[in-house]
Amino acid sequence: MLEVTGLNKAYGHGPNATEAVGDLTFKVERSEFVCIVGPSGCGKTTLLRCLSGLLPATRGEVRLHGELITRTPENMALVFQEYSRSLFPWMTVRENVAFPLRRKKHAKDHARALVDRSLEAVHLDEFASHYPWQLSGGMQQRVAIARALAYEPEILLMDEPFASLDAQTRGDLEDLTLRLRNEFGVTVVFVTHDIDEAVYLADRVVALTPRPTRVQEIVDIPLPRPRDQLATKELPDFARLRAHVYRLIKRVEGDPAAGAATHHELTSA
Amino acid sequence: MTARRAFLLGLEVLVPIAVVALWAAWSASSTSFYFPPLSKILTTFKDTWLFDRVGSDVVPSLLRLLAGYALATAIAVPVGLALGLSPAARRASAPIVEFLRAIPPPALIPFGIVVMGVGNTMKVFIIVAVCVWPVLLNTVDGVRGVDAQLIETSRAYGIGMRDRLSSVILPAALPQIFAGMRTALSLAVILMVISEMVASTNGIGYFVLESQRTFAIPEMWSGIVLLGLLGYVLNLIFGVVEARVLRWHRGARSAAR
Repeated sequence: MLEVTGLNKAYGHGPNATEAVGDLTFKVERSEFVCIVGPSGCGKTTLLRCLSGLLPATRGEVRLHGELITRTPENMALVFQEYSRSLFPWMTVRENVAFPLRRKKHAKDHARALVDRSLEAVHLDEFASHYPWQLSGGMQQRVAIARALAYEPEILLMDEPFASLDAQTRGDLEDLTLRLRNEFGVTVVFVTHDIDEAVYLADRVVALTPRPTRVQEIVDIPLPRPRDQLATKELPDFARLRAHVYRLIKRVEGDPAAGAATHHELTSA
Repeated sequence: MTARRAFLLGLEVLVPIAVVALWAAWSASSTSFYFPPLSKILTTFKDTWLFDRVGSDVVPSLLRLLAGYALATAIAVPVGLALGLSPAARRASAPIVEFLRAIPPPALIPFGIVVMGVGNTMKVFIIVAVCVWPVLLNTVDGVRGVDAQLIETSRAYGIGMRDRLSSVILPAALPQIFAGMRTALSLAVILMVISEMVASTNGIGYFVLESQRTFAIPEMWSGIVLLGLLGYVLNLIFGVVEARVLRWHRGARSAAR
């Protein structure tokens, strides 16, 4: 569904250019949940902006259903990390969710129903006429998620959406995201630096190297679904996969001991 | 807390009353030609402005003020949006803007009289020529300061340029536009008075100067008091409108704290 081929992004020109994204190639299949994890500062946000067409790639290409992405397509929605800066403070919750639907030119009733349905899905129907700044951080991010859902995307890109929330809220929103993904049948690309979160959510984890970013390994996560914050995380497989991804990320952060162990484990496996 | 609040509110109400009372007491037995008793000024005020000269002087003054102010805002906001969005236009216009803005406003009056005569056109022109700048510069700053994440979000959702302007950029810049409009409002009052003093046959400014020239000192004072009240009330109205329009801004700011 989403194909990333030889993606490269450099800032600046000539000898002063810095490469944020080195060379990335991977695919995301329909209704898959793919988490992209990398060491901090590895250009994850740049990558996501390239995937969505907000930032033109220097080399390589991103295709959705075979079509080259040059601007954010109508069947793609984004959720950003900084909810307080991505919701419009002069619009109510309802207006925020309804605003992007202008592009879709729905009939009024249909647009209204979409907004209602997505606000209900994130349990914010009672707060429709509040302003975002009257809500807690977790609720604000739920508004951003509702806005994305009302847009009826086939694919949802999420850029460290829960990074600035407390652990409890984060767990709740992870489960909400998994539930919504089933309910709305949407493909999710989820960027995070949190290895636990990535393994817990994903069907596959794309582990990246530091700048200039490359794909280090794509790890299948065959954990049973539905997932559960306690039961899933107690599974031996979860611990093993988590440790594996952890070593991948740690190794590239310059810990030769961890790297050696990983290598050994991989060859013997 | 509430006791302290009540105390502060009391101060706000009582101090002005005390000042007026003091003025009244001090001037009560005044025989000075230039400082007539307050009671005399107030009587004159009542005779002059309630509502004898409202139609002949207050209304023309207010119309000039509002026309100039509205026109200035209507010009400055769109131009400010354009300059705020285009770095090239900003660079190209910067020297001209800085030059025009540096001209002391009253210096334009002789030019205005020569070209437009002494009528309303000249007075409105003077008000516009002065009020445009604070609104324009604040609009430019406001547009440049719009959070990049908000722009990015609207781009990601394919919001077209027209909706982006009217529903994202303009509201985001509005707090700063209002700051410029507040400055422009007091400038408009000043320029209204000056232009009426230099060349006019009616208006509050004209009345004050004419009273002084005919040694009608209580009348002169009553005009000054009226101008003070006018400025006060205009600011009050502005504050109410601003609080309504920018309710979200105040809420968002206090929530961020």
